[in-house]
Amino acid sequence: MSDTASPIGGQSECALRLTLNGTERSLTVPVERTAADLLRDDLRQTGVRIGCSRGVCGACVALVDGVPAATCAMFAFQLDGCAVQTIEGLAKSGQLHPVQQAFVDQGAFQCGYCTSGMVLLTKALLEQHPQPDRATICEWISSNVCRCTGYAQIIAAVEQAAARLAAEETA
Amino acid sequence: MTAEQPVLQVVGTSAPRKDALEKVTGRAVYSTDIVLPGMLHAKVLRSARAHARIVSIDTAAARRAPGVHAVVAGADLPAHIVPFYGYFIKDQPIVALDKVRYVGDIVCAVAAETEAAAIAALRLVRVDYADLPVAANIERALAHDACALFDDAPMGVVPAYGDGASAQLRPRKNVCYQFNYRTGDTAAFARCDHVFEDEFRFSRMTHYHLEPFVSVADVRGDSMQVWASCQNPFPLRKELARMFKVPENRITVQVPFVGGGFGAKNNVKTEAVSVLLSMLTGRPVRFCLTMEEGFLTNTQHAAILRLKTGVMADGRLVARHSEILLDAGAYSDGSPLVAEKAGYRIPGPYRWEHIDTACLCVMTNTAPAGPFRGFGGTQSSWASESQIDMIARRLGIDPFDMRKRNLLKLGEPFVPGESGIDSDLQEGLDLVCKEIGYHERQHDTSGTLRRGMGISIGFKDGGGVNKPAQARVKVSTSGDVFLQCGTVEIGQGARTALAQITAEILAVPLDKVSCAPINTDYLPFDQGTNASSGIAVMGQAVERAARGVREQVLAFAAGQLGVDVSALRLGNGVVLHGEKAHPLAPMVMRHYGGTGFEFSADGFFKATSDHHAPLEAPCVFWEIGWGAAEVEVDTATGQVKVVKLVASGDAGRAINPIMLKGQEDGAAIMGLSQALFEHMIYDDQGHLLNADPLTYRVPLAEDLPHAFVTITQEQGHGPGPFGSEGAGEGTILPIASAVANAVHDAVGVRITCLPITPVRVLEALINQPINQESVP
Amino acid sequence: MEHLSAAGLLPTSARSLAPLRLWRPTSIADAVVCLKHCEAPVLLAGGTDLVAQFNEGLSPRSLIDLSRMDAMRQLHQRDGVLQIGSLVTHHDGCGNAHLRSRLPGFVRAWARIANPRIRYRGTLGGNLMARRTRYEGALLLQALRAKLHFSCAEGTEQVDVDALWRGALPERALLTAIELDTTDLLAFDYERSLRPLMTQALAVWRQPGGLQLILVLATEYLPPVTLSVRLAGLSLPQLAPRADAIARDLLSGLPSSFADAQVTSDYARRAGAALLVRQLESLHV
Repeated sequence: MSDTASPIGGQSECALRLTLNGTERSLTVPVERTAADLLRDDLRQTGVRIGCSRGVCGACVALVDGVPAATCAMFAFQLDGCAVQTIEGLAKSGQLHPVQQAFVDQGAFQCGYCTSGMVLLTKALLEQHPQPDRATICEWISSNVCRCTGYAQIIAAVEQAAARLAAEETA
Repeated sequence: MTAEQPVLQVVGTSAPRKDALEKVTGRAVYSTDIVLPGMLHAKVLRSARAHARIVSIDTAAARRAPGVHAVVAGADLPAHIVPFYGYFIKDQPIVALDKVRYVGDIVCAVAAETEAAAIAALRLVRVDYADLPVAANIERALAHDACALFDDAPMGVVPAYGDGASAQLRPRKNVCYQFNYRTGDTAAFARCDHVFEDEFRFSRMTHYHLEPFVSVADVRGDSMQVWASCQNPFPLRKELARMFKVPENRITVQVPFVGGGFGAKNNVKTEAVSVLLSMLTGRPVRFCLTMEEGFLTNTQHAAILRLKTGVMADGRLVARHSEILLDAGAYSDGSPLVAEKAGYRIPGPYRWEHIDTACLCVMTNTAPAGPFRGFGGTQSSWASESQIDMIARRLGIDPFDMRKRNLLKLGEPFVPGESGIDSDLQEGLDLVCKEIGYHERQHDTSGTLRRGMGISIGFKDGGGVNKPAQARVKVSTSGDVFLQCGTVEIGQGARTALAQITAEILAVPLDKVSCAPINTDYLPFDQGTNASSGIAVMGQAVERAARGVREQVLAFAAGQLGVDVSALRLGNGVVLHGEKAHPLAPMVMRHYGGTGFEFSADGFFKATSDHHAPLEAPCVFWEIGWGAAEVEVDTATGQVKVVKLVASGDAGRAINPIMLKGQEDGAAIMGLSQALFEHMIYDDQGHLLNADPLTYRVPLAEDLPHAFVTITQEQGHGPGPFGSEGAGEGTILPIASAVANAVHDAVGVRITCLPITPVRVLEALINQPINQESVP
Repeated sequence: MEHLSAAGLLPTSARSLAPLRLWRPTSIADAVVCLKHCEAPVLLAGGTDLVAQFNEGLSPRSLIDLSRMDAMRQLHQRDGVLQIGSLVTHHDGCGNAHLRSRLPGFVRAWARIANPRIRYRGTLGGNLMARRTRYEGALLLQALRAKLHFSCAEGTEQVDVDALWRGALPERALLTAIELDTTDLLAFDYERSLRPLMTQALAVWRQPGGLQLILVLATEYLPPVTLSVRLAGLSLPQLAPRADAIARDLLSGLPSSFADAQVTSDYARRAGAALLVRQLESLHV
């Protein structure tokens, strides 16, 4: 164990408050709990998928304060004070978000395991770049791995969603 | 071609997938999501050595560790179970017995309250190994002084073969299986103007399905429930029954959505460990692998292919003698089947007088190789389509003309006793050549960047061998339709497509058809989701079931209405007599009273057995992948950029065009990845260097060629419903050779070893080396 | 996976961690005390690499979360010397207007590493301290002759970037800032078209009576190698016409041991020279 000059702090649990899909949640978690496990197991967001468990594949991506983050590569306590959006928080009253609808329309998923992460990544991309060119789309989508689609239909979905969101904006 | 109606309403439309909402909202349930009360977590210790005898294992401390419920090493396997699994050859133990045969071989398994407790317990296991010589590649394993991976012969079978085909178990040391095919006469070589001998090397990839290998087993008394991410639940059930001596009707296998398989998730993977630990602990047990473990569980086959091809001066193909060596890894898994297919497909879509092929499964101290999209057709297309180009150039013939001269015609049997080719091969070739501008290609020899084009026709048989498929379709009185079949949804969209076929035949909208979840207790038998067989094989069973239930409904209605059945048809859930609609429910009420009713029919399909067919049944269909690539080679760095990639398959009739396109895209990009960079890097001591998601490079969106076109052909000759045939593997087959052919066209060097790396290309440009395998 | 020396491989992950104790210092002084006295400590910046280390068997007992260390998130310049706080994320660093105007070549390179998702959370310090040969921060900074500032309980220390690969870092120390003195920097370019096989960063420095070229090459599996040459009497515009000769000479100094499972030393020499020619022919700051 540590010697006499032990620094202050050293908690083994953290109390956290976060907003999950618009609803405030509070809970206490062990320090070592990952954000992905918190979301999946404690907060029942099983749409957060575990793929590589090391922040590479992006299947576990959720939006943390609007920014796409691999939740398997975060500790749960790092979500304290954050607004978190998972795939479960996208559709409103049974109506799919334009990004979700675009993925359906363009056949942009097959096995579906990467889909939660890809959809949220796309949402964040379009918030940063409402009219992304193809190079920007490819650069962003390269944050996540899809083994099924070969990406072409995902790119088409991003383009459709961009157009739909732009149309809603001007409507 | 048969059409149920003049104009198809559901088949041929890009209807949203039936699982679309679930997958896009995150509600979809995968095996990784299964949680049972009291569930324990399994973890395993794996060998870090490629080949070693286990001298001793001490698990005493592990057993005492907190939260541990069971520890199993070889000595702890219950005496009454059969601890070996496999396809044709049962050689893989649940946990290692006397030796470990590859880095990753399971040595000890633990079930504990949490994953952390299981890992902490495994840390306390002590193992003493005695190293054995390592044979980490084909050459080493076949060397005269190689150490044998198996001292004794594991239990194995050789299936029956028809004309020209045969196989042997253990023909020599470190070869578990050999498939042979011969037709014609060796004397054909003597008649040839030229005989060319070339060697090709094929790399190995890992499937990299995003959902890990995972199962949950709940064994209570003599009943066993298993949730598994598995492509063939019925064979899995059979294997578990055999291993654990439990009757098949006491075992239930359920398969939720599968997050990608690509061939990896067949037969036993995690299930034997989770079942065993559940048996020992009396609790449900979850065994979920990390992606790193996945790399060490099942891979594609690396291969050496030696082709000796005899031709006439005008380019006519005469004879081919092939020796194919597959790197099967440490356990046989699906290798005998892959050997059958790689060996069978090596002639390609061409006419020959004489074929003589031997395909060997070589055991090496590396991860077991098994089914991988393309299944031997990828290996054989790489070699065959590369050599066709090489021969063409040696003879001064354009590679297009060389192919045209030798392509099999529509309807022509692949080999004696076989079914006829069901695509017009020339039509497909013309299509991709037109799209890429093959005949107009220019060769600008100024500057460091050189462009070239290559074409290729990837070839495999489709639909499996001797594969039976069963399906059931039920119709309720309100016109709701229940489709029940064992095809697993692994992303390919089969269940949506099969529902579309059903909806078409029963004249209902697609959303009136539900697909039953996979449960071996309630569904008719299916051999497995493989071989691009969903539409061509299961589709025919589904078609028969749907037709059968339609006949029942119409016969019942005819009886109730007092008319001839030929005057009735189905439309939108009602029976139509001319323009008059007769809903089913009132008719059923009149006849059966208020108890209700369901109409139900089964469908069965299997290709007819025929001893003249080399594989004991003619192949159901032929899955062709036409490919064309335009490359730009940087002659200063050797880098190959694919400027345009064209890939095309013939689906006969596309059941769902947008879903089909997704499959063709995905397969082509997998092929491109193999062509340029993706591969598992094993050193000569059996250690995998890029054994993790960071260093194992898979294609990302930025790897897409600037121009990427997939063309779905619907030539309409398929045996499946509405003239359809299978797809989903065709477009992986031609890509590597199309790229190699394009590089040859651009800069005049031939790369015969995958991947086509900048290092190999630059080396070839400078040295034109003979042996490329030593070049990374 | 974790390699247990005798027994074998263990599939560790964040889930198999023993319970951790968390410290959240707000000052460098507090942080170094934590580092010195905590049991088996590990530092948490963006965390994008830490989870991979858990998969590789790292099992800390103490987690020192640096998210409250605002001092390490600053970017400032004093007397021509740039200080980039080690907690500056790739995203924020590349968005810094001052940095973009001072070092556009470096920022262009920095903006390409990893991917957009990782760039939001990953920090420059984390990229360096991960010490992964396939990460690119060290290459860029080595060519720019950066100095790494460490603090520990005993005091502060400055080391060169290549200390990361020589195992020559101070123990239980915190990387606080990366210092760049680019007063004499004339040009910088980063070539990553052959990634992940190999990449190379080129920096051209003004010297009394001429120029110094620094070329740092790395492959996916090898730590960076630095080649440098002094060119007397030459100015920047004079490099392009002499590019072939300069490149050939410089790359001939690449050791023959510079080879890994994917790249031969011969290839590195030839392709490196070809890329360097292109870099020299298109130089800007």
